[in-house]
Formats: sequence, structure tokens, C-alpha cells
Amino acid sequence: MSSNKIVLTSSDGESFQVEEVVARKLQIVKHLLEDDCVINEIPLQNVTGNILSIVLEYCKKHVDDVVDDDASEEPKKKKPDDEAKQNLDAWDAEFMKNIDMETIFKLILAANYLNVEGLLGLTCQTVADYIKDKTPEEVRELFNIENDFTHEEEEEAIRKENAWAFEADTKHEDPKP
Amino acid sequence: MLDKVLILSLFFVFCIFDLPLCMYAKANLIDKRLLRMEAETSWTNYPYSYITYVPEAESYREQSDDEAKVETFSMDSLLPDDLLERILSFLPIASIFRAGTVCKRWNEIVSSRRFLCNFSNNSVSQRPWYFMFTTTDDPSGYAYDPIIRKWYSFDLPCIETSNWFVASSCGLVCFMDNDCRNKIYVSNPITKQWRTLIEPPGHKSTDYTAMSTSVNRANQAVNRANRSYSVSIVKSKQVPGNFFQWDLSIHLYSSETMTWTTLVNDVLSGWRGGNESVICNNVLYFMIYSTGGSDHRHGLIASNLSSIGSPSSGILMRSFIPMPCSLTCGRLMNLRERLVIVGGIGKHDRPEVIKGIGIWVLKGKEWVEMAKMPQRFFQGFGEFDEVFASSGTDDLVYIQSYGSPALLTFDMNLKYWRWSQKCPVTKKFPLQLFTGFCFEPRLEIAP
Repeated sequence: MSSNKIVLTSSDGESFQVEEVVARKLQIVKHLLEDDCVINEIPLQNVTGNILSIVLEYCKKHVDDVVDDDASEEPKKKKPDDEAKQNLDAWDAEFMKNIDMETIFKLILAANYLNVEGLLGLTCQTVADYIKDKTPEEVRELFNIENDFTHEEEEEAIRKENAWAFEADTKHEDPKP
Repeated sequence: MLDKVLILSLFFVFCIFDLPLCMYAKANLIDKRLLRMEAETSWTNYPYSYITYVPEAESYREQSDDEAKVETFSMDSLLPDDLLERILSFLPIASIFRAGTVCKRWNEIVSSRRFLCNFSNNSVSQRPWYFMFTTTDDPSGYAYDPIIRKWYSFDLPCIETSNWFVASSCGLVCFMDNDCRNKIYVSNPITKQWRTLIEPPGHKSTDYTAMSTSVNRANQAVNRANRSYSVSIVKSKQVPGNFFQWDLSIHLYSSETMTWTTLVNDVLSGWRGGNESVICNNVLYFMIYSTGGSDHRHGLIASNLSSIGSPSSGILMRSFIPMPCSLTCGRLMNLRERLVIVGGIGKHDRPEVIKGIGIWVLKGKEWVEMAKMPQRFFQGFGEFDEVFASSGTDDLVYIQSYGSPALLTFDMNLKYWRWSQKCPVTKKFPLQLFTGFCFEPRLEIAP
């Protein structure tokens, strides 16, 4: 595989020239290239330029991932090098920290369409992390979701035996006894 | 103040820019489903840009309420069901229950069969919990979630007192009473489903009983809710009038046949069974204790569950494995199908006094030391015999001091020791004891 350059064009006409190996992180591109045609420019109709640039930034950083890109059922614990992995995880965390929720949603859609498994997992995990400590009301406020339960339906949804999941956080002292 | 003005003006700029699209969205406001379909097909045309939601800027939203109210759509409508499902599958269990009460759409998603299957495949979000009994009689207590580092005031199904026998595997927890030892329940503590098992065969009253359970891990493609499981009982009873001889029988329950089979009926000389057993890779391991006449205080028997029934006596001792050293409070556990023992390392001259706590893994017939509790943690565990409880599954070991609600965790992968978040319970009287057990919180498995 020669170090070919491929041009990816977004829906709003922005073009990005990247190494073929980076472009291949987008499974949608990888499949196109596998059809043996010589392609130098690929239009990506469902992604805007600003989102595509973020996706490509991720791909460039993760170009050396050992992860098997063919989606397998079991989540693999890749351990090429523990320190390298930790650095990559730290970069991912920093990367997501600077992105607002709405853009993350757009990234999820883009990662899904372009089929970038690592980014899809990362973005979904980020949203999940963001909501995991929130009460249902806080989640509704965050995403502007309307509570379409009737009062009785809501009561039923919070069944008595699951009440533990709705407990408010109690402040704990320092862990060391 | 200035930054708010700036944000507002940017906001107006966006509004004007997207005006034609705004009108488009307004027309479709009533039919949310249509909006979602739009999102799925040509989501880039969707007029999201006028609500530039930034988490820190929550305060400004109140000010520009008029503008925000113009188009009230929910952000999650940007996502099709399968992607929302994927996000929710990363949530820890408690959050899943909360997510189900956000709105009807979320409720449908977390209740769907497909979600349960995908959720259980995502092992990243779930780690085993530890349930700690906090009183000596009734089985109330708290369950610790190591991911969120939080204790829940949690009710267990079926169990009546805190001294019942407990065994768990893959989200199923078995409880057995400690009086007659004939009431056995299998439950999923999270979904609260449970079932009684018929009484096991063998001696009606026993001196020692060890119970274990194992969920059939084979055939991952099978609908996880219907996975079969086994429950094993090792009964030990002293032969009347003979201190050295002990009857030992092994019985296995299969959820497929819903019956018990007696696998072994043996007599041990100089050894007795106890209360400790675990099933690992379809082998039943249980601890035996010397009743005199042996260099070893205790040992391990490995009984292959696939070989049904053996007529000859003495067969059990052929698979005897000595302990790695003189141990106290030895507890067996299955960590990803590796047999692990946690025990107090006895002093050479006074084996009932421990000088450290160690963790060993069985490889073949040899024990390999996996870790030793660092001194700074060990200080919490004192110098007595039955001083601590330990339990573990998946890749986490919990070690609990009997005398206090302190809980220590050891991650087998990272080789990392860590105290848990402090349990919200205080010791009420000096001799109060605390025990507990660990289990995996699972939604999809049913007894």
C-alpha cells in the first residue's frame, strides 16, 4: 500500500486531503477502495465540513490502532503497549472534553454513517458518562426532552423495587478507615 | 455580562441565517416522528444550528427564553433508535433504570429485548457489585457499585437472615437457608425474579454444606435470558461415633431438567468437607479440612462435573490439591474461569494468626501467587482467625474486614488495590460482624 493521498469532500464542499491509511479508518471509504477502483476523490454527502474535520482529526491520531476494524461482537481488550494505550485514552478524553453536546451528537451520526467504530464507541461513551449521574429531570433538561408520561405511568416506571436506583447521592467521608 | 451579550448576538445571527429552515421546522413541530425521519435521512438539513447548546452556558438560556421557546425540539430526536440505544448501553445499571423514566421513547428502548442483549455484551459498563449485610439478623444491607463508587440501599429477594448461604454466577444469585439447608432459591437480585428449587437429595441434616452455582457460558448465541445453570451441593456429615470418618456427597441441580443428580457418595478418612466451594470451568472445587493425622490443615478437591457418578470410594482424594500455604479464611472464587483463592497467611508457629493476605490462582495443579495485600492495607485486618470475608467474580476481588464495614478491592487485571467508598453504616456495638458477597448486576438473565 503506497502512501497515497485521498481527497474527501464534505456535503458543503470542503475538501480534505489525507493519507490513504487515515482515510481507511472510515470503513465506508475502505469498502469503496476494496472494489479495486482507483479513486482519488470521495464525496461524503452526509457529513458537513466541520464535522468531517473532527472525524479526521480522530482518525489521524488513531491510525496506528491495533483494533480489528471488522466489527466483532466481543469488545476486544487490545494491549499493544499499556503506556501507549493510556496516552491514547488521555488524548481521547481531552479531545471529547472540548466538544459541545450537540456536536457530539453530530459526531455520533457521522461516525455511524462513515463507520468509524472507535469514534462511535468513544462518542457514545462520552454521552453516557455525561448522563449517568443525572436524575431523569436533569436529563430531560439537558436534551430538552418532554416528559410524556402521565403521573401514573411515571409512578409505574419507577417501580418500588428499583427505588434504589433513584436514591439521591449521600455524601461519603474519605474512603480510608 | 458582555459575554452574554455576545452569545445573544451570535444567536440572532444564526437565527437570521437559518430563517427559511426555521420555518420549515416549525411546520413539522407537531409530528415529532417526521422530524426523526428527517434526521435519519438528511439530518444535515436539520435546523439545529440556532440552538447552540453549550453545557456551561445554561444560565443564558433563561434570558433568551423567548427565542428558545420558538422551536422546542428534543436533541435526542436527532438520533435514530439504534444510536440512542447504543449510548444507553454504556450506562451502569442504576442509570439504565433512571433512563427508562425520562420519556416513553427511552422507556421503550431500555425495555426492549434487543437492548438487553446488546447491553449484556457491553461488559465495559458493568463490574461486579458487593453486597454487605449490615445487621446480624435481617438481611438488609447495602450494595456497592465500583464504577460509580456508590452504595445503594438494596433489598435482596428470597433471603431471610444474613447467615444464609450465598453463591453467584453471571448475575444469578442462589440463597440457601442455614437451618435445615433444604430451601434453595435462585434469583436475579436486580430484576427481583426468583424461583425455588426442589429439595436436594442426601442427608437431611448435615454438619457442613457447600453450595455453588454456575451459569452455562457455552453457546453465547443463545438467548441470554434462557441460559441454563447448575447448582451444586456438597454435603458433609460425620459418620456417627467416628471422628475421622465423614460422609461426603455431591449433588448437582440442572435448570434444564429441573432435577438433582447425585454425582458422588463417598467417605473421607481424616478429612471433612466444609462450606467453601466454587464451580470453575465445569469443575467443582471444594475445600476439605483435616480431622487429624495429616501435615496439611486443609486442601482442595477438584471434582469434574462432567464425569457423572463414580462407584468406587476414595475417588475424591485422587484429585486432592494441597493449599499454597497454611491459610485462614480461605475463600474460593471464579474469576473468568480461573480458580482463585484468597486467604490469610498463617504464621509458621501460630497458624491461626495471620501475617498477611494473599491471592493465588490455580494453574493445573499448582498455585501461583497473584498478589499479596500491601502492608498499609493489611493493617485494617487484625490478628484473628476468621477475621475477614472475601468474594470475587469477573476480574474483581473484594476483601472485607469482619469487624468493620471497610471494603477493599483488588483488580486482577490492573493489579490494583483500592479501598471502596466508605459504606454508609457504622458499627453499633463492639462485637458486630459484617459479611457480604459479590455478584454481577445483570438485567438479562432469569432464574
